[in-house]
Amino acid sequence: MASIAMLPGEEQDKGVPESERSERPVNILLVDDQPGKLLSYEAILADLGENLIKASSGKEALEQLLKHDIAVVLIDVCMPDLDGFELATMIRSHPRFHKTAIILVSGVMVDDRDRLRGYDSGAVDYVSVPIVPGILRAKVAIFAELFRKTQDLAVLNQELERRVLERTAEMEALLKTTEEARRDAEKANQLKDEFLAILSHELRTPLNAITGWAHLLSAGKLDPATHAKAVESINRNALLQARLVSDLLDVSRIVSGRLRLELRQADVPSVIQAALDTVRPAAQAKSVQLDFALANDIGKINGDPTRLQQVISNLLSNAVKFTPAGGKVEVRLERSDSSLELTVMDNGPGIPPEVLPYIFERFRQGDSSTTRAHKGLGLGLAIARHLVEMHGGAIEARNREDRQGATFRVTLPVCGPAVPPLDGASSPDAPAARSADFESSASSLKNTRILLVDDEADAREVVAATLERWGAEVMVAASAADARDILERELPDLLVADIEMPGEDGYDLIRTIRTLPPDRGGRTPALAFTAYASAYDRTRLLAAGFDRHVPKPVQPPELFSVIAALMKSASKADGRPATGGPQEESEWKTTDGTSS
Amino acid sequence: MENHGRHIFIVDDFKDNREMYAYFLSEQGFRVTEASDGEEAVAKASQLQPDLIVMDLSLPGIDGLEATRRLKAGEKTRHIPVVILTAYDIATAAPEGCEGFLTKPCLPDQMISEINRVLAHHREGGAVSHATSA
Repeated sequence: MASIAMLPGEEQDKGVPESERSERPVNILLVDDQPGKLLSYEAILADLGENLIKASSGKEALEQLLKHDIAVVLIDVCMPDLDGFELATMIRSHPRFHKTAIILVSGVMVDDRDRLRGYDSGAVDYVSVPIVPGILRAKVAIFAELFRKTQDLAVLNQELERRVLERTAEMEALLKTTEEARRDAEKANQLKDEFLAILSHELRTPLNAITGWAHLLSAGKLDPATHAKAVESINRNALLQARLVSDLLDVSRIVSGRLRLELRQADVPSVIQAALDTVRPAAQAKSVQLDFALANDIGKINGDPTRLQQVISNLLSNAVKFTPAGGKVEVRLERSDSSLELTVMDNGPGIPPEVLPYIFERFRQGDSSTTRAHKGLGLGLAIARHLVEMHGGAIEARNREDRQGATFRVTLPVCGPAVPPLDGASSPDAPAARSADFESSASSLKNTRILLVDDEADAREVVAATLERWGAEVMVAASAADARDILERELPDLLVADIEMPGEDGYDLIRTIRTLPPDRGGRTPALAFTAYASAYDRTRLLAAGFDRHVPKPVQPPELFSVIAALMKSASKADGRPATGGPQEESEWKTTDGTSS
Repeated sequence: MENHGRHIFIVDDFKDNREMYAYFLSEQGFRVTEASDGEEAVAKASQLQPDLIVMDLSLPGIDGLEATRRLKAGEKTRHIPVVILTAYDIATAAPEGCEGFLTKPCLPDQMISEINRVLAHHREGGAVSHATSA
């Protein structure tokens, strides 16, 4: 059979199993009007082990043929109503039995003319009386085997066809994916080119004022009023450029995963006030009114005040930029159970629907033509989103329903990360990150089961201790193999793995895990520690199956906020209650000891 | 002074740049008027009949390219030479029909020499050629 199965390797194992191929009995139909003869055929053929079906007339034979799948028909030529030749012709003329093997048995003298008549009517062979049992048996056996092989071949053919279709579909899908990837890459490239053109424009415009005025100043002939104006203009444009450069650096840090938060107790209302102060001159220049409504009882949050102010300033300057002269920008701060909600509303033209899905993407602007009425690099919102997510929060944009304009809403968790660095030394940048704050977040990973994989014992112990202090239940593994062993019996809520391990590294581990079914941990949210955090590494990590990464050396505040963000998005994706993240104690209790 | 009384019309939406050039050109004896967008530029050029227009390309509303097209299509404005001043690449930005071209950052002296070159050429020949300086 193997020689017929034209497919290499595995294919031979599929299709018709060897056992069935040789042993599967087929149906043999015996047709004779004399019961005695039928009995003797039966006796002769019994050894073959096939199913023998008897028919005592042509009519009965036809009925049996329709009822069963017959391999061979043995027909007596001499029968009263319908003789053997006629029956063979009838059988052959039916499309279903076009290829059925028919053996004619003739009791009278058989000469070549009789044989020819038999072949013409569709018989494949001829047996004359007296029957030699061995010959009859051999002939029937050959045709039975032929039938079996034909059947096997049909099955294999079907299988082959199915596989060809399957492969074709796979190839087509692959082609489509490749095509899509190519288009995406082209689009990204085009966006980058556009971005570079805009960047050059945005840097040269203030540079022009700086060099121009500096030139005039150095000529030394300006009257005092113009002199003052020149200096002011140079300052203003140098600051404008500094802001562009700092946005560019932020984006570079975001892309390479090097942006760090300096966490402390942040008083959000005063952060908003500071942000309002920065945009007030621009708003006043356009006669745009800034309204700030603050709900009572807004607690402090654990966050980086400078970065939070940057988020709010970006949103505000964006709103002022798009609000027409004489318009209004409204800022609201409200507190819900476990989070602060900041809303910035403008009454500009709103966000075009085709731009809305990409509003927080880098290098995207509503308009990149020379008629862009709105200046800037279009990085502000991308940076804002990243900073908010680093705080374990979320940001969304939509058009207002009540009137024209856009609304941006930032949600920040109240109980954020705040712990001293891992080495125990208090960070000079985070004077408020002290034990009091730590206590409040000490149980916020309660009921979260974390599988920690790191080959370096010291690093592993420190991280494990930190996670445990936050209330997590930690399972430790010193290698990828250990981790897989644990996964055989446990289903953690989160995987935290070092990338650089000898032998099987973090990449190998996550790839194996991602092939597992969901109920065996295949979709466990995964976080990577890595010393290499270039854009390329980051892409590689995500492609391999990690969800987030934290650069080494690991800083607890960052670790916490990344875990919080990860658990939050994982629970959102699952529609299950969060088992981790900066949530209030009351919410934790909803999972109540059950780790999902 | 040679420049005396020559009327230069500066179109730029970035106030700091517009003011800097306006100051310097006035110092050099030019008469200067300003506009900050394309619509305003087209309307005022027809009415003021300046000797030369310095046109920024990136403008709100109609941009410098479109404004230049309209100026060059208008009976009353097509004779006025236009010097493009842009922070974009020349390759992507050179419009049809302009007489001069400057790239930001552009020092005030560079602007004066381009203005004088275009004005001299314009006075001599009258026919406008696409200046490919810069």
